[in-house]
Amino acid sequence: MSQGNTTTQPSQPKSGSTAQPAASAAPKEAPMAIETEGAWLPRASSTYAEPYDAAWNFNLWVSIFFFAIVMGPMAYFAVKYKRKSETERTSPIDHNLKLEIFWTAIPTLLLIYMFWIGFKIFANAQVAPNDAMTINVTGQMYSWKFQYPDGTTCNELGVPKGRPVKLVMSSIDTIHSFFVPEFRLKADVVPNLYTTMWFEPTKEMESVVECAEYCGTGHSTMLTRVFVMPSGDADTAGTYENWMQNGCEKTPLPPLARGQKKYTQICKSCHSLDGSRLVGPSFKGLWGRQETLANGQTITVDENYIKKSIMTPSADIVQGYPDQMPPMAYLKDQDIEGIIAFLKEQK
Amino acid sequence: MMSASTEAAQEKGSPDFVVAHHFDKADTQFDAGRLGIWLFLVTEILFFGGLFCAFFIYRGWYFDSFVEAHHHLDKKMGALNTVFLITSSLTMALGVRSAQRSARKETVGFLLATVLLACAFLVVKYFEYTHKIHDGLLPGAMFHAQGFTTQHPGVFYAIYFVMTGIHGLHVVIGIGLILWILIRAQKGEFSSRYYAPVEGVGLYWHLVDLIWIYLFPLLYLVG
Amino acid sequence: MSRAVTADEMDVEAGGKNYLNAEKGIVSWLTTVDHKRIGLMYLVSTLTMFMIAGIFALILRFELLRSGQDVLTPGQYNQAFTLHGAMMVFLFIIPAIPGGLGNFVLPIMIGAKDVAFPKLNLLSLYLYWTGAIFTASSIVSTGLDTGWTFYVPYSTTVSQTSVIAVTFGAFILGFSSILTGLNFIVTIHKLRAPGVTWYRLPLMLWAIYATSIVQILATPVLAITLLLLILERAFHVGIFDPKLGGDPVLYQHFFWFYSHPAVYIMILPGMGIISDLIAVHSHRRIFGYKAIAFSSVAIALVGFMVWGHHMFTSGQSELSSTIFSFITFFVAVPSGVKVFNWTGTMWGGSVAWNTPMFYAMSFLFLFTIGGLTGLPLAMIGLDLHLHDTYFVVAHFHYVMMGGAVIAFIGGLHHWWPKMTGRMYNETTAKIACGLIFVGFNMTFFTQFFLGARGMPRRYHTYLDQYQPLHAFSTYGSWVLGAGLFLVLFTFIHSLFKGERAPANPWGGRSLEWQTPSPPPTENFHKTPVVTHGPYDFATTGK
Ligand code: HEA
Ligand code: HEA
Ligand code: HEC
Ligand code: CUA
Ligand SMILES: [Cu+2]
Repeated sequence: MSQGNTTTQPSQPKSGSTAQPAASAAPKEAPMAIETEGAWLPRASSTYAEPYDAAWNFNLWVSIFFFAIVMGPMAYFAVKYKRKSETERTSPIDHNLKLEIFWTAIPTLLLIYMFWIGFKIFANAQVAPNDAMTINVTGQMYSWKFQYPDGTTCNELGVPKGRPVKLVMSSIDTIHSFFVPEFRLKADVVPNLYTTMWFEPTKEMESVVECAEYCGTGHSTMLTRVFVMPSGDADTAGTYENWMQNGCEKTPLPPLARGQKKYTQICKSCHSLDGSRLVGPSFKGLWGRQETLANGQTITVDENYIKKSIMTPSADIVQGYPDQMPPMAYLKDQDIEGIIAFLKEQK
Repeated sequence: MMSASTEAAQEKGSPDFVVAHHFDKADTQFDAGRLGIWLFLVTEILFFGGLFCAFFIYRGWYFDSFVEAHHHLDKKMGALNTVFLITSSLTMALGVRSAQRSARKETVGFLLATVLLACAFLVVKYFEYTHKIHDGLLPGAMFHAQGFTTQHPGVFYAIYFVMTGIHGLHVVIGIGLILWILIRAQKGEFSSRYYAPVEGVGLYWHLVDLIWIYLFPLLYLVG
Repeated sequence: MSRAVTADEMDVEAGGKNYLNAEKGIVSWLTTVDHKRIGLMYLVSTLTMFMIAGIFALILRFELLRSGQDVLTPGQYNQAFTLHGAMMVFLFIIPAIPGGLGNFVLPIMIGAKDVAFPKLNLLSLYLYWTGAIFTASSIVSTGLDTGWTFYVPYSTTVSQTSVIAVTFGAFILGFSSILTGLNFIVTIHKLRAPGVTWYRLPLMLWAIYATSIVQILATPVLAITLLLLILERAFHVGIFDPKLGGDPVLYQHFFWFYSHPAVYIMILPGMGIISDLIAVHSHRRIFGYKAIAFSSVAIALVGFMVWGHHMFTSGQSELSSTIFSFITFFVAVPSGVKVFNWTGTMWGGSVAWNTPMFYAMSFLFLFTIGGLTGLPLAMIGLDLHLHDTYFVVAHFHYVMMGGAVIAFIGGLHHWWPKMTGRMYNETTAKIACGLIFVGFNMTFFTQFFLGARGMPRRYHTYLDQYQPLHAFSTYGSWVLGAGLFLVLFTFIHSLFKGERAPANPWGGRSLEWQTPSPPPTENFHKTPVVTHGPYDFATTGK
């Protein structure tokens, strides 16, 4: 199968494939992709994935076996006993207790064993080791927010290889679900509840976090990247520490590129660039536009208004739109400057 | 569930009803009707069962809120209503018995008493509700009473209003059903040979009563 | 298709009065209490819903042909799969087999004149229509975009669509379903003709009986859940809304407490049909009658204790997950018993290579795959990866479409001559069956790969790496659609041009084959007395 080397990030409406003016400012990022190994599963990239794949294979062979012992005889009987005349007489044998017991008991035992296998790998995934690094994850419509131990907050997940990581997750609006196929792990992110997950990444890689619980219009674009980097010196490019120091970037970004990136990570699911309506108004021609608010006021879109919209979106609701924009008060000033710069470009 | 028997009793005014065309004999038809009613009662129990589960789960979570909130329910009114309903169950049972004994006047009298008690129940409930609404003791987002020290009294009132509301709806439906058999009893349609509808409505009414017997202590006394 | 006419059939004068022509005019249909007419109206209604929901599926599959946006905006896509799922489940598969085929055959099979409560039966149908109108009304108003599961708080606070209308519709449909179940239980208990003992019931009826138990016990919980959901959305009563102290996970428990058993409401009647199809079209005493009969009841009962397997990632406690996972495996045991006994029934039989038998074999193939892929989902550890991916989508289409719907279509062919008095064209029917089989596997087997590779469900667009598989799946849905339309064509053709059907075209032994096709209004000219089992075919008598 295609390994995704020709992929682009999804969700760009094909029709309105506007050549984004700001794109040139951003360093080219590899398209999002999940590596696949073999026919079925993605690459195994966590300590959870390895026993997982063993259990998967066991289950696969059990299934193939039982499928075969049902389909084989069925096909054979269908051919062998094909009706030759309407008056044919058939076998009078209509039950066999021994057989019934046999095909009740054997599957029962096997099924209990399958439960056990599934339980074992699950149980191991429940308790995080004590030395695990804790990252707080917030799901919101339609972006991910990661807060690292040192307080840094950003929208991509970066972790050092070979070190257990514990995620403590919650949502500020509806239910989302944190899913990294290469780790084989998933847990719902629920408002008013903290759910946890832990994993130990075993491969240096770049992969995808997907939202797996339906959460509305932006559900299928609620994706972000996950990086597993070697641990090392903060001054060496490519290490986790270096990435942290750059504010979750491999290299620091100029404002416009930064704005564009934030747009892709956070705003894109709800604000299009081509004038089409998603959850919120399109960003096309937003800058300087006269906007009527739900309370009847009219305002002009300027720096302050945009900043206010990001910090406390419920304060000014645009007429005809739901009050559904989540507050993004965690964004840094540079991010907001970048976003404003980016918005100015959307004519 | 009543339809077969209704159909059967289409011979107005005659205690000798006609067995519906698809039953072999009257007994089968009675049995079928009775089984139908019982099955229906099972569904009712499951219907309320869900609510009772919700009650216990939230009570476990927000124990303090539940205790605090339940003090605002009027135990006296609740107790009065319990008396009304238990008595009405008794009159209902007597009504069914008199129908079985073909005692027309008594049947009508007992059924009427049941209806009146049920109405009394609703009147008390009405006063309770208006009082709550006036105090702002309403579910969830509508809760605006002041002076609560715990976090989630709104959840208690959500459960209180939903459970008593649905129960109250059952009482209203019950009144309708009892009036319906009351009129038929008045016309003399029931006798020791045919009283299935009275019995069916009676069973339903006992269930409504029974649910209240659980609701009262849980909501008013224990909280 | 014509066969030797038996003595029984001789005394039925051709063209005599039957339930179809006994009364005329639309009013006579709308006010009928005849279970056969009600069954037919159910069939027409549910098949119409199947067609609409299926067309939604074709549209959403078309959108998935390529990543990005083709024909539907994200919002429209979400509405398409929601309405597809909700209509397929609530308006098609749950009512179709019990309400349609079940209504038609149940009283005949036990030698009764009608169900126990004929008016109640008509009321069920009217409730079905009312619920359907509420549900379908959303198509012309603001739609519905919550998924068929209506999860809170999305459905109560975020969604801008007609949640209340649809959930109220489903609430009403629930009552329809409860009343049907209640009616059938009483009918089977009280109206069996002389000689029809419990062990002489066709297995179809054991399945219907087990289904009815589930309908009665599970549906009320759905009713209260939907009611709470409506109150939550309309008044924010705070039982489910986390902002007000409510618990969204509790909603999921409530929902699955109904909806897991509901999957057995869908499959059990299908399994019943298959038992009859295999025995009758193999002219063979069914192997392990009691095992099959009791496994239906076992599935129904165990099915009540496993709902939490839909919630392994939801944040429920690990202990609950473990227990639910453990119990889930025990549903597979009685399912296996059935599958093995069906295969056993073909052994030493006289297997007709006709359409109903081909559907039965398709069912065995597809249901086994569907059931077996339920097992990795039930293994907690494996489900963490698979949950809410296309693997689940593939699993449930294999059991619902490949299982229940295939059985249903097989059953339609099987009882078609009885219902309409006409034979259908074997050739087109067989071609259709083949197209469906091939198209179905193309569409959904692909999705096992997609899911295992990490493609989440309910995605309007996707990473480009999934492109080839999605495209293949979409092509499959066209083949599948073509097959289904061919079935429709075959049936319509049969209505107008079909040969007259004899009373017993398949040589069946159960009661419905002992009365003319189509049957008279009260099913039998005289109440039958039964002296043999439903599958007592002529044996080699060893
Ligand atoms: C007709 C409907 C139907 C049926 C019959 C089943 C049958 C089963 N289902 Fe399925 N299921 C659904 C409909 C159905 N399901 C739906 C609609 C969903 C998704 C809902 C949603 O989220 O939208 C779902 C989801 C679902 C999940 C949740 C997945 C997730 O969301 O993460 C799980 C997990 O345990 C599961 C398990 C099973 C199991 C173990 C069976 C078993 O009953 C299967 C038993 C059968 C067999 C196993 C095959 C035959 C047996 C043998 C040949 C015997 C020998 C076998 C062995 C010893 C291995 N199903
Ligand atoms: C009985 C249940 C049922 C059936 C039969 C089907 C049938 C089909 N389903 Fe569906 N499906 C669901 C129940 C069902 N589905 C549910 C519950 C969901 C989850 C929704 C959610 O997430 O909320 C779902 C979701 C779902 C998805 C996932 C969407 C997503 O997650 O983003 C997809 C994608 O491929 C899909 C495709 C199909 C296709 C191609 C068919 C095809 O098989 C359809 C073929 C039918 C036709 C083409 C119509 C033609 C019919 C006639 C002409 C009438 C025939 C007449 C006679 C037989 C007489 N379905
Ligand atoms: C969950 C959906 C959602 C996301 C994500 C989102 N918005 Fe919004 N946004 C809305 C909605 C809905 C409105 C209109 C209602 C309102 O004004 O609050 C809106 C309005 C706005 C407005 C005012 C628009 C106008 O026409 O006056 C601005 C500016 C804005 N958003 C900026 C942003 C930025 C910047 C981001 C990302 C950092 C973002 N939004 C992310 C939903 C969203
Ligand atoms: Cu967030 Cu789906
Ligand atoms: Cu289930």
